[in-house]
Amino acid sequence: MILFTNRFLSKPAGWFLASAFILLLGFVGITSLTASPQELERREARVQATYLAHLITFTRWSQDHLPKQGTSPKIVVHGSEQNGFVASLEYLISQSNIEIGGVSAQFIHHENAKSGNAMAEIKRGVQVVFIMPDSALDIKTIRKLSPSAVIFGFGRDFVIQGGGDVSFVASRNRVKLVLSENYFRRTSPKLSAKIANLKSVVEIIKNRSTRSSNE
Amino acid sequence: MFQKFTNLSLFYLSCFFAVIGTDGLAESDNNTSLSPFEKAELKRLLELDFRDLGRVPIRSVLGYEQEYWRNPASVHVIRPDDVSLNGHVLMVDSFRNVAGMYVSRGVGYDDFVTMRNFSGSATEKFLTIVDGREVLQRMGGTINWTTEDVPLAILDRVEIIRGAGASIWGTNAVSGVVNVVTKHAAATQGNSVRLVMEHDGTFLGEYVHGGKLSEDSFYRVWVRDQEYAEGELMSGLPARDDGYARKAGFRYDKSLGPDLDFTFAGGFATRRVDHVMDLTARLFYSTDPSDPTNNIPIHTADSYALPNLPSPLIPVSWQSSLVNGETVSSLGLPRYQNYEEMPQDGSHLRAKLSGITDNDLEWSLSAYAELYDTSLGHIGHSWERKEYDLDFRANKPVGDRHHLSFGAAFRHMSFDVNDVVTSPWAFSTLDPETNSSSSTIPILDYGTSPTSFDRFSGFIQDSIDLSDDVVLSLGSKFEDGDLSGSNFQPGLRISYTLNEQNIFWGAYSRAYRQASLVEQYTKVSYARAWNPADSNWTNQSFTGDPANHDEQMDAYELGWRMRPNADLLIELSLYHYDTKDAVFSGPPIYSLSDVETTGGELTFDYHASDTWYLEGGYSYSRGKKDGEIQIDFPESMANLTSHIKIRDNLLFSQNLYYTDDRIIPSAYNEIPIDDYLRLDLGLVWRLKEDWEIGLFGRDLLDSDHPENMYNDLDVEPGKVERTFLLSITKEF
Repeated sequence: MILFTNRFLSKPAGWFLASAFILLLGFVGITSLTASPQELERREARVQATYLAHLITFTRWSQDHLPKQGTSPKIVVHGSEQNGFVASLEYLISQSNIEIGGVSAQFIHHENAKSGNAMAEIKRGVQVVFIMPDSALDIKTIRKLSPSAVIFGFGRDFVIQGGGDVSFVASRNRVKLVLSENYFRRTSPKLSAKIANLKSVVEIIKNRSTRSSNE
Repeated sequence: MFQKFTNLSLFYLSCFFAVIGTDGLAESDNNTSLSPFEKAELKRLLELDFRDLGRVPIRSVLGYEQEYWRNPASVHVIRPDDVSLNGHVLMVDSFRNVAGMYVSRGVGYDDFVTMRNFSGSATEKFLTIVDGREVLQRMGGTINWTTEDVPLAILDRVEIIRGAGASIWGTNAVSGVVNVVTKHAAATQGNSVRLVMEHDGTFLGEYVHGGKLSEDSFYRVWVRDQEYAEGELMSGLPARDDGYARKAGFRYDKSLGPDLDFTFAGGFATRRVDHVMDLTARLFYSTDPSDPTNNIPIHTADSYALPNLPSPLIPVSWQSSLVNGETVSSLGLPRYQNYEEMPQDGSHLRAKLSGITDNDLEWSLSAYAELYDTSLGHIGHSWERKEYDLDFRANKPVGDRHHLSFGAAFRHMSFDVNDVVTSPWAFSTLDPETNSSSSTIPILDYGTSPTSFDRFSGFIQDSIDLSDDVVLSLGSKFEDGDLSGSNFQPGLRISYTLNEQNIFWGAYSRAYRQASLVEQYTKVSYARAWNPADSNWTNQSFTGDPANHDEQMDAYELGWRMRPNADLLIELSLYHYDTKDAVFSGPPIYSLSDVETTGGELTFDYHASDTWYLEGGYSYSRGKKDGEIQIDFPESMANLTSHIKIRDNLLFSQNLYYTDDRIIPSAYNEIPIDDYLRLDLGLVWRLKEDWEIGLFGRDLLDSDHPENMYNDLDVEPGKVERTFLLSITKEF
């Protein structure tokens, strides 16, 4: 390194570049103060939607938790569109023709203003529920109404405190999954255990009872 | 020939527009909150598995994620299907489908690749990297595509970045970068066999086995064998290009913790073929010893009965290289040639540790060691190269709008060079430099030139989101080395999103191409001239110059990327390169010239329907060397690919290629290559998920045509013949 420095800084160009580097750092500092571009958030939403599409494919429902013959299984999203997440998910479902129990799934989006409709839908039985950040729906209520549903949301607390099955977090410039241990252990709906081995992608939160006993 | 291409293309394009007419160019579905670029990205993300999805960065560094639509560069990504569904045997063959890449075949085992004009010789002027390892041969400035090819089952993608990329990639990324990436070992579990058999007997076999040592560690091993069948030269003479290339490799991947990965890999390759040296016009009669340009071929001097000719006319050692009854017709001279073995062995080991910290610093530390041993028997030049490389790179978001990337690297190379005289040249010759006679003057003499070289380098780059529509990337690579001295290679790239369907980008880069060791350090003894005054054969040579260490290029680029809908992508890239001190080899000297190259590519990628896929491109490139138009590169090239799904498991593949005419340059035997049109057709049958059978006919419009050869080494090009091949792939 000393050799490199001696050879490089002995030339005028070396000093020019060193100066340019310092100016660059200053420029970085000054222009770091503005709000983050929306494209980054939309990109994150696209990756989240893709994860969701994959997770649905790796989940198995028992016959009791599938709709009657002739009725499509349902993927319900409740809450306002955010950064193109809902549009991305709807697009992915249409492109990949996601099937649940061998039948093409139906995608339904209810805005917050239509919580009543969403609750009615869930009560009729759904397979996936995604709760957007501004949704007024309660996880416990959804579980009671539709035990067949895998419940997705945002943030670690959605799983740890809220009792949801899966949530997305941004960590180390990547989208990560926070999964409830129960999602792997219960009979239905049950996620494939292969996903648990992807340590860089998945953080598994133990069941509340297991966590309490360990504490 | 171009008319034929136009007619066939018009047929396809008329179908293309008929489909578009019913489909509509603009987005017509109800979902208007996603742009066509976003929809296309979602389709690509859907193809990734969980592991690969976990590697997709939220904030990326411009120039690193090549398929990001805001990337201000002209990029083409090749995937394994692009090789197997188009009847290509090797990865390098698939470069023919990339606008701006000029791929040609010499004899059966020789592939020549240049990018965006600017070569004039076999020397590659772009940087090629395989899993982070630079594979350019420093001695001659070429790439051995056979030894660097990998089994198709382990290939993840080949990123072809057209245009100077030195600020990110470094020296020799002059006309572009070819970045070959293999799959993680976890993605190649189980067994895979691929067999490709051509009707002439050329054969390729690959076997890959992957397994798991634990839940977080995976491995794969593989072997590969390619057998070349002998072909013919354009004159009908045997090409003597039979031989083999064999390779083996392994890879081990382990996850040491969340976002901490370790990779260890290696490979060994060996090739055994023969190569020729053209000796036809290398014995001269000197009419003016002070001016080699006044030399005339010895047979011509004999026909004119010039005074004091040598006796025998042809040295005894040279006589055995005569090809009886054959002449090199363009010269009107008897044909002399010498074939010798050209063995090549290469092996490498590499290791990489990479991770991401809690504050989003993404880093990697990698090292590789390489041993390469080759002998160009036809020239009498052999060398062993040892290379060690240590590389650290990192990137980190800074604030909400900046993403800094930086790194440093050290490389050490050492050579053990051995030059010997080949048998035809072993006759008494006066060396003017020593004023003494010798019968052991080698063709290439590396002499006591330096054999150990170190290089330090560093880079820094900032990708800046100036706004939601404008992204700027600026940075530079700094290098200080024994071969090229000190330099810095800045680059500035900017992309502007005009609207949901259109993106414009521009770039300026400065790049350096490091001249090869041959161009810098060797004395090339290319001929012998009979001096009637003192009745001696005199060595004719020219010498490299250590000052020929860097070609400097300023590159200016503009691009436009349009996605009217998620199924159609149209791209236009324009460039102007201004190169100073480009090295051109003699005889009689290595010369430095200024070269300007202007051109562009227009490409499209269209999923016309669920059953029809179209892809194509047109490239134009015009180069001027010291103000004169270069004719050693085809000005126009075009390619068109069509895949039609006849049934769910049966695909009809069609490929059409057009290449403009050019001249193979030579000091004494320029060879014109006419323009040619190539049509490949194939059927690919996927019996089940794990079986694929392909039957292809290539070059169906011509029984044979010439494409390329090593100028001033080969006597004539080999025939590139019409070929039928069968490929079988099985996973189990």
